[in-house]
Amino acid sequence: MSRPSTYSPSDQYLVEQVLQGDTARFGEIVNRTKGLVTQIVFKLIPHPADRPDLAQDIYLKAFRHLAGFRHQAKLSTWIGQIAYNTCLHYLEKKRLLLPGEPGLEAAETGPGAPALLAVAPEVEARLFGQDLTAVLAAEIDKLPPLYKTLIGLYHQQELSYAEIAHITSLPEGTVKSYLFRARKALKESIEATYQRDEL
Amino acid sequence: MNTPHLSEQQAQQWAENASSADATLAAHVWACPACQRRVADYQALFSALKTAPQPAFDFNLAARVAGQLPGVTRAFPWAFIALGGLGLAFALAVVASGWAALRQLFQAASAGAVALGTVLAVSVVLAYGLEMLFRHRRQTEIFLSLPRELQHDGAQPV
Ligand SMILES: [Zn+2]
Repeated sequence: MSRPSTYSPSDQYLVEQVLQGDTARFGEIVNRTKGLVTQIVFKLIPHPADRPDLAQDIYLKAFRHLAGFRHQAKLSTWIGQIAYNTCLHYLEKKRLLLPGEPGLEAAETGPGAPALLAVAPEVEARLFGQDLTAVLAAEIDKLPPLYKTLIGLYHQQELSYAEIAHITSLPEGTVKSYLFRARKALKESIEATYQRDEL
Repeated sequence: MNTPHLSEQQAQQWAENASSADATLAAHVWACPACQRRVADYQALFSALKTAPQPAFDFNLAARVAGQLPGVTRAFPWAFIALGGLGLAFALAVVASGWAALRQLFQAASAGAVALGTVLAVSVVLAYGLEMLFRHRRQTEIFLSLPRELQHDGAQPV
């Protein structure tokens, strides 16, 4: 989403304005970061009805703790971290923990695994020749929440590994490894769906 | 072709950045249709992910948050009403105490000093009221005006 080419104040300026009492400027901060926050909330929270309140809570937390923002990270990354932690807290409360979910480890082949072609090449060639966008949303939705989130942050929000590591408090190597598994699982899921439809 | 096929990880890396691969791998991929296809599949997947609709709420998140911020939309009307009430109470008190009291006041101090004081007091109250009004208008405008691109945000939740 590209913003209009009008003057756009820096994150630091906006934060200072809000801290000096110009609370209305916080709306600009929300509009700048809502893509990232929405991505995290939609991917991590399975119940759509809970998402609006959670998104609101995330921004109220950010507002209350704004004085603690030190400009060491990007403002969006800082708010993304609040979003991720708020969602994790919600999942813990609802006993929907991220790690150790069934199917999460099963999807892994590992970087050192033999390079087998799991799907017959002629099938594979047919799958990805089609328009993927039609099936993509449904296939992403089948992934575990953490995988969905990593795919959303990396491929749709176009964050770097370092930024994702900052948001999720995971080591960068772990982010890379999970993202590898997530993409592999997504590709296999798409292949499986097409194969099932072909039968 | 003696080198093994690309691993999944290598295929992903290649799809993202072909220049990161070493010469042996490159030689293999150029000669191996299976690996080329696998890389192409990942490239298609990454490209589709990039252009897929992003999740979006069907309401104005900034306005919703604004309604909950301390001291913005909620606190202001009460402050305004309190200020108006005070002004009204003051006016009533003046009327109730009658012109006699006012005349006494004017007699006690020099007429010029009282007039100056009254003008100053009215100016301060007026300026404060106007400042609050403009500030409230500006806040409401910023919060409630959607950026144009938001109107096209009708993306389906992913
Ligand atoms: Zn090969």
